[in-house]
Amino acid sequence: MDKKTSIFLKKKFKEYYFKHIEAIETPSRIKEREFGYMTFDRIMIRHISFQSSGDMQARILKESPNSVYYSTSFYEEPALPMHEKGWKGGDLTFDIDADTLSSPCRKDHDKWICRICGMQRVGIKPKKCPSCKGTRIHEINIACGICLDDAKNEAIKLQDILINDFGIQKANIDTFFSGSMGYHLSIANSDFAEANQAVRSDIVDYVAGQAFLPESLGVSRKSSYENMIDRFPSESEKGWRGRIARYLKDQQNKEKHMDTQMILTELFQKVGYRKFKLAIEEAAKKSGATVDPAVTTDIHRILRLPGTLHGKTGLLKKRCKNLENFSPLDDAIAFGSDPIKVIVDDSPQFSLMEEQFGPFKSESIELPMMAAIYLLGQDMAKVDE
Amino acid sequence: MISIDLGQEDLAKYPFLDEAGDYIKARDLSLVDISQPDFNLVIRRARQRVLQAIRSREVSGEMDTPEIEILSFPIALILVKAANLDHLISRYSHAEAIRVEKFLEDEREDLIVEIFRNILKINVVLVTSKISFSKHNYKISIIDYLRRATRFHELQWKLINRKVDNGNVYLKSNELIRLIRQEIESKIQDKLKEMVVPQLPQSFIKTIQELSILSPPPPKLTGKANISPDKYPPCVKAALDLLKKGENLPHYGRFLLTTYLVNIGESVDEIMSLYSRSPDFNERITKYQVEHIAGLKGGRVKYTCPSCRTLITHGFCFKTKECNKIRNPLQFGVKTNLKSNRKRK
Repeated sequence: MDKKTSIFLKKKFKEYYFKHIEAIETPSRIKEREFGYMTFDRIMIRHISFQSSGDMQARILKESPNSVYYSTSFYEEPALPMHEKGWKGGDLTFDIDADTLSSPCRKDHDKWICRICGMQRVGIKPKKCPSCKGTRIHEINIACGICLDDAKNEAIKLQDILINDFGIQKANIDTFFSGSMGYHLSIANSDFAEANQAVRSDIVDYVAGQAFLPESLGVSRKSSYENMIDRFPSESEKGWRGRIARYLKDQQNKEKHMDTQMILTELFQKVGYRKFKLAIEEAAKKSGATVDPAVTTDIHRILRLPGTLHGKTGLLKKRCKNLENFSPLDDAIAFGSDPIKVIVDDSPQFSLMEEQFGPFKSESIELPMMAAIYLLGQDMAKVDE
Repeated sequence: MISIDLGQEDLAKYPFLDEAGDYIKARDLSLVDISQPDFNLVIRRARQRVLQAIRSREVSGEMDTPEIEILSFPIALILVKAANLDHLISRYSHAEAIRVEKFLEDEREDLIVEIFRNILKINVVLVTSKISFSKHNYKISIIDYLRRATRFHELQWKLINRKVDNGNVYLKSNELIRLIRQEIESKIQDKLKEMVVPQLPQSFIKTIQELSILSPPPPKLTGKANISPDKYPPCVKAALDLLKKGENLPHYGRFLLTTYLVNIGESVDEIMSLYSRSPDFNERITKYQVEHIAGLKGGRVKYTCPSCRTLITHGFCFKTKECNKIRNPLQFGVKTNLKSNRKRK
């Protein structure tokens, strides 16, 4: 990003925060949290602490950073180096990212650039550059309405598991659009606040449908067919057994009208244990929520602060009061429609506030502020002289 | 304190309960009294408890004379404590825990619930209705379950393979009891640690010497370094393969590879040389990261290798038959060799 563009963005962010500083959410137990931010010169500042939301707001206004973060954990001394902080506990958090889902739209809007030979293409990042065979490939992801909808579906699945299986009240699950590619779900003050990494890791596997065994459905390698049907779950059963049953029922030919026990029995008899296991693993993965395991298990992580701007998109990390009706490319827009001239290097088509933009290639163009900042932040454009 | 009436038999089964201690106190016996011929059977049983722990890793339950069973427990503790051998303390605690586990498996439900609530502070609730194809007698909160179950490496203990509903995990009695073996063990270990050995009669000292001789220390896990790359666990091999092919090794693969190599004693330079083949190699950053993991930088904590369970979570487990029942890649080869050695003996 050139100097002029970064100065411009910082100015715009400052103007925004000046008007909307109250919209930044103050995390609970603020004094015990670590804060950090990244400047527009891409310098990361960490290990800061604030005594009050006023302190926090003042610092954000003054610095107007590219990104602001807070720790999901709370510490004795949040401003000390990591190993001296004294971990006390942490929220249970989940991150859902559209770029980890294989939405079909990605091949149309993702872009990659080979850092070695400079080759660039629209589409999903290859493992190796087809030209120089290098593997230093930089990926530029743009999230469109379709893949953000897919991410939302994952978030809905996750909410469902947290509510029904973990017994967490819906009102206690803080759900946010991340400001870019997906959703953050955070649960404060739960039984899990003091859970260690091993516990959090097992929770991730639970919500993601990882490592589900056929034995949990009631069959093993040595199972006889006798009474098998009684051991299999019905659609109404709670927990993972019921979830697998419902998934398989959905996959079934609707005209067959078989109950889930029958579907499972038939499947097992047809393919045997090994393939049954694979089919069940697939069903579990599809019925689970795809979350980034590192965010949940890393108890020293910092996450974007709700109500702040995402430096790459100019969109807000925004609380979703009603996830089903939330529309990130409308509801998380922070900047208005004042026109501004920018030089776009290369951009796929994207839409904001139901208006479509692009694709653009090496052109100077006047765009509404929100669209301009969306491209400037992702280094796809620069401010016109 | 337990709120239901406990009989002598209950105390004999669970002599670690405070109530058993009270029972003994009420008898007002000194060690000198105990060393008299009248109590020969108690001493003999105490010695047998320790011997069973050494030889078969499990103390039997001898319920013919509950009184002997109750009195012999603190005497056995004295013998173990006085022998002053760390490995005997852990072996004995483990063997007593297994004895308790066996009794609990056939225990009446109300006493199980009481023991869990009062001794282990776990709120166990009896389940009366059938909620799945098989009967689950108890439920506990997910967090109480996970705090314990994450110690087990078999996949059947993962939360996803449990009956879960509305914040609770449903368990059969043998599962509930297996879950707390470690805690019973710790309870007994704590008792041993807190204990002060009193002046001992001569007859005790002879027994202690005998037990010490019979309790050799466990074999040391040696030969950690100098593991040749063909003996690496499959996940580490997979990480190396990706590096060799010049493919991008995901973050977790890098963490695994580095921690594994650091822990088997490879030097920072040797590890660096592996990464130098990687196309995005940055000497300064790689050096910092490897040194950080080796505990030479930053927090000065040497990172250990992630467990097999963690690798599953991060999608980097490439389990083969050779993995057997290891819990951590560092045990690959070491643990399996130990087992086969034991068998040969």
